[in-house]
Amino acid sequence: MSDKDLRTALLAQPVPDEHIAEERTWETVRSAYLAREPVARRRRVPWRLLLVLAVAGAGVAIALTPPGPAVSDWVRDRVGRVQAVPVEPAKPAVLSLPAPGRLLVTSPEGVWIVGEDGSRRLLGAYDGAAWSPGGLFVAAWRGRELAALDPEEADFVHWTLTRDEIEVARWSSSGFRVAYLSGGSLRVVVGNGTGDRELAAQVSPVAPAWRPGREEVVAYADATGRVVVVDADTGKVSWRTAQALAPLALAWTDDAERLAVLGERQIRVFQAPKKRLATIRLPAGAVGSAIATRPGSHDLAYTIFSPGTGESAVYLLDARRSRTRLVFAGAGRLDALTWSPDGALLLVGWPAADEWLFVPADGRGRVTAVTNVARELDPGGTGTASAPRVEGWCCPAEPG
Amino acid sequence: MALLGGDERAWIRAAQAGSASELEALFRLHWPRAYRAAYLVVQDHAAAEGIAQEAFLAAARTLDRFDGERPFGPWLHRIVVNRAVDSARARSARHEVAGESYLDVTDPLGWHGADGNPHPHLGPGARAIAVGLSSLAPEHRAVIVLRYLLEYTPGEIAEMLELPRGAVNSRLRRGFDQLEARLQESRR
Repeated sequence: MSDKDLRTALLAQPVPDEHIAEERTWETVRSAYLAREPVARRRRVPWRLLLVLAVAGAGVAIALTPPGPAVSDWVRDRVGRVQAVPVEPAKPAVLSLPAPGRLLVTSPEGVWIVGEDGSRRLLGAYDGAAWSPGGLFVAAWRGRELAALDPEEADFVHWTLTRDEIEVARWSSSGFRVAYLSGGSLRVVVGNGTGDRELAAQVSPVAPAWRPGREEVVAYADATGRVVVVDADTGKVSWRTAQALAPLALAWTDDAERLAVLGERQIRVFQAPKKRLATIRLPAGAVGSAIATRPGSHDLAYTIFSPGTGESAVYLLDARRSRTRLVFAGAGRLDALTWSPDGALLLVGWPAADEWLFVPADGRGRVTAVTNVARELDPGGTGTASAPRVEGWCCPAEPG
Repeated sequence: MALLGGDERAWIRAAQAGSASELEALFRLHWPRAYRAAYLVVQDHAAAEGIAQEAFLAAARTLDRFDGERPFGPWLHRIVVNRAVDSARARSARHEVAGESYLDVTDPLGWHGADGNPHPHLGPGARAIAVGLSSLAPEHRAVIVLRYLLEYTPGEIAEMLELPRGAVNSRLRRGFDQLEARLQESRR
């Protein structure tokens, strides 16, 4: 073996995660570099933006750097205690949306529909809700009751059924089935409220995910942490993953080709049937908290939370360019991620700041923040426990 | 090891003056070898990312004080390789095992590719080198990586690792012999 042979062999060794690690590290380094901004540049950068960058830098470094405490101390020395800070001048108490569509929102008051123009309607006192395809109906639940509501008319209930404690429901993409978790089992009911039956006993408390398309195929997590993809009508299992730590969330791409499974420490991406395409390992010291596939693409947004530092960060994985980009970092936990129907904006709930952030997917526009959302949708409510939770962003209302 | 080029010197100066894009150019230039070096020494991708990240963060923090006439690579590699050795020793002392053998890893970003293909499998020679490398002590892996991947001379390695030159030569010889033995075994 010559020296050249050995060098060639070392260069040929596979190095896992090189590109994703590169992007993560660059975002961290860039944030640290901007946060140490020379005095001369302060005149050109608004102080508010500097503070945001510093805080964002803190979040990034803390969330992504294994030796987090050192970086955390370093940042705190410069910006003081990391706090929730608006990204852009927030719009107080105005819930108008920067993209077409309607939001389905749950607050302690109940389930709301928020229109593009900021109009809002309380549908009723429910614990949670989900859109039907096309936004024609809303599946809502409270205690042991599951109901199909009319989003255009408050208190109009198409049907209800009563089962054991209901945790979550999801309407299939065909519109003809609703899957829901009740008493620790997965059940399916026809969209008109008939034919209710148990599909799987003893499942994990993870929202089932219907595979887009006309077939009634749903993915769920069983009690052992395996993800099972099953035909809801025949009960025939298409495929199941190996046993793993219990998933936290499931999300199909809208072309039904890929299923992303969020775990505490990693995101697994499968291509049906069962081929694992990728494992995205989350940074040391951080846990996954939310995931959302971008409409019209294989892109993926995900949120991580660092329990040690109390910071969160949102990333966008650009599937076509093999790039991961940090799109936001801040103090406290972030809520569910919700894409606009056209996939142009990512809505991030930030309970600690009582804000919703609208993040442009292409990274070119500004992040828009809407503040005081709790006051708008939960008058008199206090604390992050009352923070309104976005359940879905659906298609614009039908004209007329 | 190539000395400081004109581009790199200009990037350092511009980054010192506040240009994030020039800092990015510097980062992109050095990331692949820094991360690969850390990974080959510590043999765990999460640890390697943390080590390389720390080194670049240190660079970003102290850039204002960095002598722009000095070569950036050796300064960075000194941090990376020394931290990788420390990390590998600590992991060994704790009897930690990496979550996966890197021989079994497929490209985690393979799903992004147009064809979705995973990494091509290693050939038998490269595979033997991988197995041989993992059987070496971290200190031996470090000198092999510095010599054959990063192409430093034994004298430069001795300075970077603060070792007598004789110790570097000895580790290089022993490491090289072990890797060659593995390679011979794979050909039988």
